[in-house]
Amino acid sequence: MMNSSLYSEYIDLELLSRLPSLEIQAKFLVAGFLNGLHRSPYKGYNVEFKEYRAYQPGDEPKLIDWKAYARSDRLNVKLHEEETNLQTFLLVDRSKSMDYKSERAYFSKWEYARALTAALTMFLFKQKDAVGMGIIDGGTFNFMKPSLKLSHYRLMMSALHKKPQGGKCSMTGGLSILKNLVKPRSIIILFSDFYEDLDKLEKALNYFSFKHCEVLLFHILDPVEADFKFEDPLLLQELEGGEKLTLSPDLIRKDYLKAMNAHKDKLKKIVHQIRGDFIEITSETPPLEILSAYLAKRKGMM
Amino acid sequence: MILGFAGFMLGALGIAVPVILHLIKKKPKEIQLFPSFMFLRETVADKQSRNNIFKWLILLLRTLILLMIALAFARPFFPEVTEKAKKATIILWDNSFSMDAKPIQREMEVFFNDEIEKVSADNPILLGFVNDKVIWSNENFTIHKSDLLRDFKAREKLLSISDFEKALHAADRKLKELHVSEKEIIVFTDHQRLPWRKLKLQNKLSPGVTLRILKPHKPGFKNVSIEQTKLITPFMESTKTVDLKIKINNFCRVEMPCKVYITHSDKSLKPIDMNLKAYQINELIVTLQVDGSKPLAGIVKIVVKDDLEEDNQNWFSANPEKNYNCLMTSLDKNKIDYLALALKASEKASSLVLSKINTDTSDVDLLKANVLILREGLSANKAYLKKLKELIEKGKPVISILNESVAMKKWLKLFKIKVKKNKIGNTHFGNINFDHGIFKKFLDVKIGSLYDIVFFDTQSLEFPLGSKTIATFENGSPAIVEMKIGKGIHIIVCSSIDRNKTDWMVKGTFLPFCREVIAFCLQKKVEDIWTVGQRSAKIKTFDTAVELKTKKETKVINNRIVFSSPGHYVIKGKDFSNLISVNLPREESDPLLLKTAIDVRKLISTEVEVEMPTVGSLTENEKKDEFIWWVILIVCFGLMFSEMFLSNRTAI
Repeated sequence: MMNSSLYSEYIDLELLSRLPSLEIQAKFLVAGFLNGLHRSPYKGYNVEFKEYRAYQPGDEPKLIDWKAYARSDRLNVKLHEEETNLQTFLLVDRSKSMDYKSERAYFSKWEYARALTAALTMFLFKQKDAVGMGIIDGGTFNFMKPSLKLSHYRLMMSALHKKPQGGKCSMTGGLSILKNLVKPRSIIILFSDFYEDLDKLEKALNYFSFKHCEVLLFHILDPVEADFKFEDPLLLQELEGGEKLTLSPDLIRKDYLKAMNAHKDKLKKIVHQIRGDFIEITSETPPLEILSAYLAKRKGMM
Repeated sequence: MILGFAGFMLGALGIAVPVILHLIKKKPKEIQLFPSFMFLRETVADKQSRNNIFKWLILLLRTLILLMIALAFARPFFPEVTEKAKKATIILWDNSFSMDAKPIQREMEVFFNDEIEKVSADNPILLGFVNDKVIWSNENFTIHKSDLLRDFKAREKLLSISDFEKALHAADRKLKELHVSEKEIIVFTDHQRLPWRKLKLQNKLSPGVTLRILKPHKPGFKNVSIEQTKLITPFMESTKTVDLKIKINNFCRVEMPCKVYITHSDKSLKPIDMNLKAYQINELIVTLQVDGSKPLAGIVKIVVKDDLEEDNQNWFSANPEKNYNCLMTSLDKNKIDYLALALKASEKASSLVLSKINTDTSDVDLLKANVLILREGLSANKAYLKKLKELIEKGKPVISILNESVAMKKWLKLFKIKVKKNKIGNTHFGNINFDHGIFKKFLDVKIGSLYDIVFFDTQSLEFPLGSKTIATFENGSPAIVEMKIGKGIHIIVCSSIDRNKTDWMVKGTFLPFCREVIAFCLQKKVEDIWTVGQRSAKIKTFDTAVELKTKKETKVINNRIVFSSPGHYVIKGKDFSNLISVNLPREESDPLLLKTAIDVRKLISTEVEVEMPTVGSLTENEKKDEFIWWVILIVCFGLMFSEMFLSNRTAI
């Protein structure tokens, strides 16, 4: 059995970033961790018998076990275990801020998010789990309901090809639309930098907590965003708004990191409250490591 | 606070540099995109305003640092002026010789004391003694009258005229620096000098400065003085007569009759009657009959009815000089030609005695010259150098004095003399061959030791076999070398005769050496004893040496004299009387040219202790000034650290 971290050494991140097709990227990544390392925590959609109970008026006649009635002359209703068929919804932020790539990173945040999304989608498809996707592009939302069809997979991949065009991050808006689409006990995976109002996001995520959904937040940051290691005085322009600021990094760094960490802590706290998972990523980390960590976590849950 | 060197405050203009830098400070032009502005906006807004304040603060600090540096160079000091001071006074005391005339001396001193008494205890006062320049009793103004009176008593009397125009300007400048309502200059003078009447001194002072001139009450104070006695014709060995010019200054308002008595060489001339015109310098030229083989020394006295007798006589003396007809290369015009001074008889005789040599010098002149002296100014032209070499081979004596020029190296190379790269550094003579003709005479009469001469940064030379070393430096390297080239001799002096390279020219042995070396080159029989005067007299023992002018006797120990000052000494033995001139270069040895203000003693012998200014504890004022310096220095450092501290926190 090949260790995933060992395997990641064989993955050339630059090569990966240059792969033209997302599908190939995804295959490349999934191949890295599917080699028997992980087992899906869900069993698929087999219907398994649980117990009998006496028929009660109102029960559907088709649920009556007629064979048992013939043997025992009693009307019993066959009870089955609830379906454990995993429905996963991937919500990807395609706002302009996700298009940022510093010199220290191999991918832009968007490229990183979509590589992860594509890999997870492929992985879930291989497990025969239904995967749905939502791409939040500023104010516009593009949702694809969970499905197991191959054509659906292709459709999702092609949706990921499009680059961020503009607009601000609004995972809150995306989640409010998702309310109507997602079933209880689904997995919702969010990929974003979460540069938005966290109070609103908290409210939106609470709803899914009530629906017993598991929420996974992939907080993707560029390494420069994480440590603000600029050297010379800068003239910065905001990606999403176009606002400009002239500043001295040395002078600002401490306060910036303080604000950034406060934001991160709040996000972690929200995720913790809804018993979800918070995965912090900087885009210089190899995606395979992230996926391995994620799947190991899933395995641990079982 | 007063600035000692206010001109340095111009350095404060340097503050323009940080101001300009501040104004043109480059801002980043390249735009970098960045996503997480939500964490920057508040921070930057807050920091930016503080940053702007810091920027201005840094600019302020930088300008202050430059101002402080300029201020430090300007040497600020606090005059001893209290806040109560209303009036500042500068007293200018005429320190000319005539002020010591007995009829007025007492009266003027009483005036002085009265004026000092009148000055209020809180008012600053400064005392200046006026000669050809002002000597301030104290660097700063003071309120301690006792200090002034002490300085007044201890004043040094100098025999020079007083230049009040300069003194008043200096006093005016000093007063400008003080912020008091009244400023006064009081001049104490005998009012003797002519220009007093013509100078409109008050007009030359700043507005608000009053001038008061106090002069003796006694009317008709008379003074006549001999200003100068000088030989104006060359005094050569062959000379039979010389002209003596006498300048007599009549400071009186009326014509003064006087008699001029001249005595020289034990002969008294017939007194000369003169009527000295009022307020004028009267000139008299007397032709003296002389014997060129003896030194000339004499005295001029005037008999006149004036109130100051001390300046009614003056000395004159001169050594007969020999016309050696040397040809020497010319030095830079700015340099003092000590060698020429040592060899030439007088200014007027120079063209007869010494000629400059260069590539244009005709062969006839070269052949006519007794000795060629090659030093700085030598041409590097190969053909020319070869021609000079040929002259030596034919019998022309040549003296080469080392210098660092390429031409000299080329010249020496013709004789296979190599100039080593390593320099010796500061050195003295190590060994001297006193059997050699040049130094033989130095054993007899000591006029300063040859071993006291310092050579600075001397080069080392390597000579070919057959060269005769006459003297070496301390490390054994040749200092003076004789080479026989064909029929002629070539003397090489391995050090430049330049004040930057040696102090020989201010030693008593320089002039004798110059003459001896030339005499040796000429291969002539020179005097057995190095004196001036009777050449036939051979001094073996002598008993007394008396300085001609002061009559002060110098001790003779074991037939050896240690002179304490330059001058002309009468050496007396059993059956002879001779005059020795402690010969420095002419400028220093001629008593007629000696300036009394110069302490010439230090120029002649290291055995004389030179009075140095007192060093050690500082005066109260000096302590204060030093304290200001330290304050400025500490403030400057404080500002620099603050600037560094702030600039680390402020980039844009």
